[in-house]
Amino acid sequence: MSEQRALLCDTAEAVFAEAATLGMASVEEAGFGQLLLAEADGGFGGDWGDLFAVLRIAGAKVSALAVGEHIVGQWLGGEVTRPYGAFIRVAQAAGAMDAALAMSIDYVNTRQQFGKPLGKFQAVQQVLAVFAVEAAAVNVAGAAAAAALDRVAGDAEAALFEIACAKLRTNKAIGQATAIAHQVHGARFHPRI
Amino acid sequence: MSHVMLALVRSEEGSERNAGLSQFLIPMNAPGITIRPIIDMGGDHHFNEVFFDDVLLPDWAMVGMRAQGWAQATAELALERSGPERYLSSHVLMTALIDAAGPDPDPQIKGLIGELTAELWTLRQMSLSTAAKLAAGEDPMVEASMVKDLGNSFEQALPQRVQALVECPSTRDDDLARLMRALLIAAPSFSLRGGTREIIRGIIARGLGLR
Repeated sequence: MSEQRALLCDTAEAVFAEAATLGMASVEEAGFGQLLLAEADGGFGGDWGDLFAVLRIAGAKVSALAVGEHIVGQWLGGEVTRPYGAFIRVAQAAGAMDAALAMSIDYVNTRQQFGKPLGKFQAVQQVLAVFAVEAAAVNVAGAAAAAALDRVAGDAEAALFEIACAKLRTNKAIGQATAIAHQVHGARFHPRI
Repeated sequence: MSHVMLALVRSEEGSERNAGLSQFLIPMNAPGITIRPIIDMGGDHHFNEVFFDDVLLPDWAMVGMRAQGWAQATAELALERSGPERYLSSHVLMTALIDAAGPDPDPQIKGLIGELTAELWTLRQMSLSTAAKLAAGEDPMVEASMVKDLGNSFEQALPQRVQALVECPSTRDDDLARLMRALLIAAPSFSLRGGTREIIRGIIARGLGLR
C-alpha cells in the first residue's frame, strides 16, 4: 500500500469511528467528497484503488451510511448510476466480511466449550476456512474491479464486465459468509438487540 | 512412459513423521523396481503402485538437501496449488456449454454462464495475485491453499451444475454430453490431488490462527 493510501486509511478509520454516532456530517466535513476529484481542481486526487480501500473501512464501521454514494456523486456531479453502486457494494462487503471474519476468529478463540476454545474443534476450523476463502475472493475481486476502473479513468460502462463479475461473486459469498458468521457465534446476533 | 520418478522417502533411520525424509530422482529401469498400474473410474491411467526391492541409488540421485525432503515437497506445493490447473479441469465443459447455448440461450443457461464466468474471473485474479507473490520470492502457502480450495470446488461442481440444466440422455453424443459424462466421473478426484479439501482447509485455519 502506498504511503498516501495508508494515511488516507488512517484518516478514514478515525472519521468513520466518529461517524458511527454522528452520521454523514462527519464524513462530509472531513472532505471525503473530494477523494476522487483531481488535485488541480482542489481535490485529493485519489484513484479507484484508494476509494476501494476507504469503502472497505466504511463497510466495516458504518455500513448503513451512504459514504460511497457521497464520494462518487461528488465526482460525477450527478446521480450515482447502477454500475457505480455495484462497485460501492462490493467494496463495503469486502470490508464487512473481513471484519466479521476477524470477530468470528476472536470469538471462537475466546469462547470455551467442552473444556477448550471453540476454535480448537476441527469442525469449527473447517467452516472458518471456507469463510476466509470467500472473504479473500470478494477482496481480490473488488481490488481487480477497482484496477479495471483505474484503467478506464473511472468510466463504469467501460469496466462493466469486471464490476459485474465482482458483484455477482460477492453476492454468492455474502450468503455463505454471513451464515457461517452466525453459526460460529452461536447465532449470538440473531435476537434483535 | 516415464523414465524417472521423483520420490519422497524416509532416509534417516529412526526418524518420525515429516522429519528425516529426502527426495530422490529414481531411474525407472533400476534393478528391483516393480510397477503396477492403477486404472481410474474413467478408464484413465494416471497413477501406479511402485515397489522397491533393494534398489540402490548413486549419491547424485538425491535432490536438494538430505533430510529436508518435507520442506522441499511442501514448497513445491505452493506452485502446484495455485496455478490454472487447479481450477480449469472442467473448463472444456464450460466452453462446450457456451458453444451449445448459441447466441440467444434460455434464461437459466444464460444465468449459469454468468455465474460461472464471475467465479472463474475471480479465481483467475486470485491465482494471478498468488503467482505475483511466488515470483517475488515469497512463500504464499495460505493464499495458494485458498486458490486450490475454491478452484477445486468450482471445477468439481461445474459438471453437476451443467447436468442440472441440460437434458442429457445417454443417447446424446455431442461434445457437451460426452464431456459432461467424462467429467462427472473424473470430478471426485479434483478435491483429493495436491492435498485433500480437509487438509487444505486445515492449512488455511492455521493461517487464521485457529490451531
